[in-house]
Amino acid sequence: MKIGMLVIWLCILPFLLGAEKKRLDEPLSSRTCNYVIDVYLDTENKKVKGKQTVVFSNPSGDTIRTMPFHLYYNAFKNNKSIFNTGHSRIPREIPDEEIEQGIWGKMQVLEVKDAEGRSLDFGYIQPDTDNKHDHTVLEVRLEEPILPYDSCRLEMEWISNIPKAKARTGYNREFFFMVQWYPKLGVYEPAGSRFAEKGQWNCHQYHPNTEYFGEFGVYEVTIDLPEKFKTGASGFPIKETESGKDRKKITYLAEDVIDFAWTAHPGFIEIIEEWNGIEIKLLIMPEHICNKERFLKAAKNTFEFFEQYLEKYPYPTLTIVSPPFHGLFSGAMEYPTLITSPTLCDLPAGIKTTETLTIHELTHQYFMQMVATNEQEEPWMDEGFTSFFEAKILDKYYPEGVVDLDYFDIKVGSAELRRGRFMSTYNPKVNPLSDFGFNFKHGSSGDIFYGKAATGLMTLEGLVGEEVMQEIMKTYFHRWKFKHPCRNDFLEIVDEVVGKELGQEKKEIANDFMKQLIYGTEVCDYSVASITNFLIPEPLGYFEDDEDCKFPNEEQWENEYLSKVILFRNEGITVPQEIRIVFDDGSEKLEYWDGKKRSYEFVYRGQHKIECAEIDPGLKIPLDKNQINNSRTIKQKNNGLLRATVSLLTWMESIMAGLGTLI
Amino acid sequence: MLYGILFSVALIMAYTFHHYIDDRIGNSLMIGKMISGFNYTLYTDFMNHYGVGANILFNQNVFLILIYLVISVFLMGGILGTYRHHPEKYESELFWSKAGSFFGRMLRVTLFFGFIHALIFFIFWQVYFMVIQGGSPYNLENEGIIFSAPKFIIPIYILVASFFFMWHDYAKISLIHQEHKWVFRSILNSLKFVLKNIGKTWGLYLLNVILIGLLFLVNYFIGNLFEISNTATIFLSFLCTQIFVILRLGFRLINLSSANALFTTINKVKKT
Ligand SMILES: [Zn+2]
Repeated sequence: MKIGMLVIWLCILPFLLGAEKKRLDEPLSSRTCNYVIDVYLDTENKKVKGKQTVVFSNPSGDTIRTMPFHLYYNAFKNNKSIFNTGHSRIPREIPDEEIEQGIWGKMQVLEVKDAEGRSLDFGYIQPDTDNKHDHTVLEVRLEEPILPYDSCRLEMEWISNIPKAKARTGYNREFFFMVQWYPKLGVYEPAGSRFAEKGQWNCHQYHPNTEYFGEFGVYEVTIDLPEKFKTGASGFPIKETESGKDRKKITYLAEDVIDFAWTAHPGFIEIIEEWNGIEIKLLIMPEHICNKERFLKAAKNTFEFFEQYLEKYPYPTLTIVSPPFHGLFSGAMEYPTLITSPTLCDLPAGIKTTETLTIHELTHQYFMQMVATNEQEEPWMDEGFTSFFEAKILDKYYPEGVVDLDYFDIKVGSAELRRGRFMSTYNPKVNPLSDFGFNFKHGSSGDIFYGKAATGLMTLEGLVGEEVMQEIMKTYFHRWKFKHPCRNDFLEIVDEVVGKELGQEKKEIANDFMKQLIYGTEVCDYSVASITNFLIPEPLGYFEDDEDCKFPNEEQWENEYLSKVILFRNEGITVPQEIRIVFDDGSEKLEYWDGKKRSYEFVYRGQHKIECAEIDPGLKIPLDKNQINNSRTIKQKNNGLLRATVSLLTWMESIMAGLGTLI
Repeated sequence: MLYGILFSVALIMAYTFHHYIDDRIGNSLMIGKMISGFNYTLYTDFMNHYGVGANILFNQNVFLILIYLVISVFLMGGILGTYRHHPEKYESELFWSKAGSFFGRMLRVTLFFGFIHALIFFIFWQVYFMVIQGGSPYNLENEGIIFSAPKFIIPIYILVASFFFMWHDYAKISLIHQEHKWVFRSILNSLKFVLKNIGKTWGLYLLNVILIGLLFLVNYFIGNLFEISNTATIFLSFLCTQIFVILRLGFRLINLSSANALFTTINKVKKT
């Protein structure tokens, strides 16, 4: 062996050993669809040339004759794709200069061969619409079908134009954010799994309103790119070599993931820290380095939370990409073991967007990456669950709130912010959670996927208690990690756990509530309609004895009241309620109402008047849209209103005094 | 008196607001949350369910503020008239007659300068917008300029704008002193005056601006000194802010009277 070779070996040996240590001891998932990809990044012409070997194992007893692939880049191929014409909550304008210069992102598959080396036929299909201009799904027709539980290997070659700063993906200046960037096989659903009545491919077109769905597998991706670029990707690097003049080849391995994302920028600073055996790699721009600790702390808090609540994060690495300002198109997004979370150093420290985004995207590693629900059909099952946990983690580790502006006396917690955003949405009844995500066409989709679902889960937790809720989540996670559940699978577990822990009655309550939440479009509002205290008069006049007339103050008579609280259910959702009733001697009663009728009353007879009544004093039902009418008091003892009036007064004076300088 | 009017108008606004909230949600226990300041849930639930009325009140307040501004224009004639003639003691007759006779002209001066101030602001905003290239991630490499540009633009704006505010003040003073029928004569004369004595006039004005800035700082620190938790602290904070408002108005008057004094002395010197 030559000395030079030895030196090179000695240099890369620790690297290789490190990489070896990160490999998982045993597979976490079924590894149904595995990729080996070689990709050449042409940073000059913003093109990618790729070759991939896909090995797919038929998970069913069906014989499969075609294989559909997502070609997400083709969403940016023309202005008639459903991505560019469908309803969306993300903006998608195409700049005039790109139209004039003919800059469109696209992906063209050049050749597909099977294991025998036969060139296969392929073409675009539109499973969801009849829009022939949409080329986001490519169907490969096999010469030889895949037999039950057999596997199939395809060799594919493609070339693509990287889109310029489009939704979540593309390039701008020297920032490349490579997601949805390779031909990605759909998910085969055997009969009985999710909503499949018979075996079927699940491969939707690229709808602007919804995200993705992918099969578990191992990705080995070799990226050839200019030397000066710093990279980050799903998984971890296992090999790095030179590749011609000023170029390098770097190979990443990601095991048991549903997708593969990577990014490159020459300006990234790489910060690596370890937490409990997990390597956290932060790719950050120099101008954002001030927030370094905020990212790392948020990631560690999330890891710690889930280790206690569900299970330790099983992957060896997490890459956090904090994109440059010119890379904001990448958004805040989640990919397997790689997340993006933008930050700004000039924002006030009391605004916790850096933490919120990091915690949210990292939580997605559990809900969408490990528990791989279909984000296109049931977006609430990843966004709602994630928002539910995001609020839990933030309110636990950042009790000062996610918006904390001392000067204005403003403090807002994560859970209440999430609830408030949903409550303020334009139309909370526009679609039920059970509708497929891309069928939300008339707005409010985000508030419903995230807000209604998260607030609904918080309400479920209120109904069953924190411990049982954790048990539900744990059971759900353990049973469905590295698989593809749907809402029925979750509902089954709610029934099972609540039934086991709290009995039949609570099980029915939880089941009834979840059905209203998922399949219904109604909202929830209960109120205290009135409180009355009627003084029972002393008996005067003739009673049983016609000879004996009773006169005032003749006999000892103690004042007694007939006191009544009337409650209303103002909206469609029914949910059982606790009611706290306070009497004027300070004594309290905690009552229960099944919440079903439109109105209900509690009546008391005694020496004390009811002073106030409060529905849901423990704030267990955050889904109640108006918490102000949940309580009523006979006399307001609190001077909160005085405070508000005084501060309004001084604000108004300030404004007028300010405007006075214009006179 | 200016304070009295200011306070009354603000009181009307705050009272209608108070009355509205009290009427709608006054008997809810949620009112207790208001004591610790802004409560997000209370705010969203209130705006979602009772917000229509609050919006009407808001629009009405805009109208009330306009009335206040018109009254201020009216009073300005009286204030400056009193300064000019500086009688031994305050004469209400003089005040009201000046207020009445100069109202129309004062209003025109106000409108003219209102336009000028808006123009200056617009120009600076446009410059900022151009410098940051629309603040778009497509045009900018990083966000640095969005935050660093104001560090230069705002001080320059304060300097430039204070010149126009000063000119505005001298235009009013000159209008009162020289009693021109045609307001543009005063506006032009005052510009000549200001430019001729730029050192003194602008210096004095900037000094006043700095004093007001200091006043704001003091108010900020006092405001942070104690936590509001009961009726006593509510009134304490109320008193503090009222003193602050009175001081602000007082400073404004001192500002005008010092400008008036400067105007008078310089013109006297010229005449002799
Ligand atoms: Zn999300």
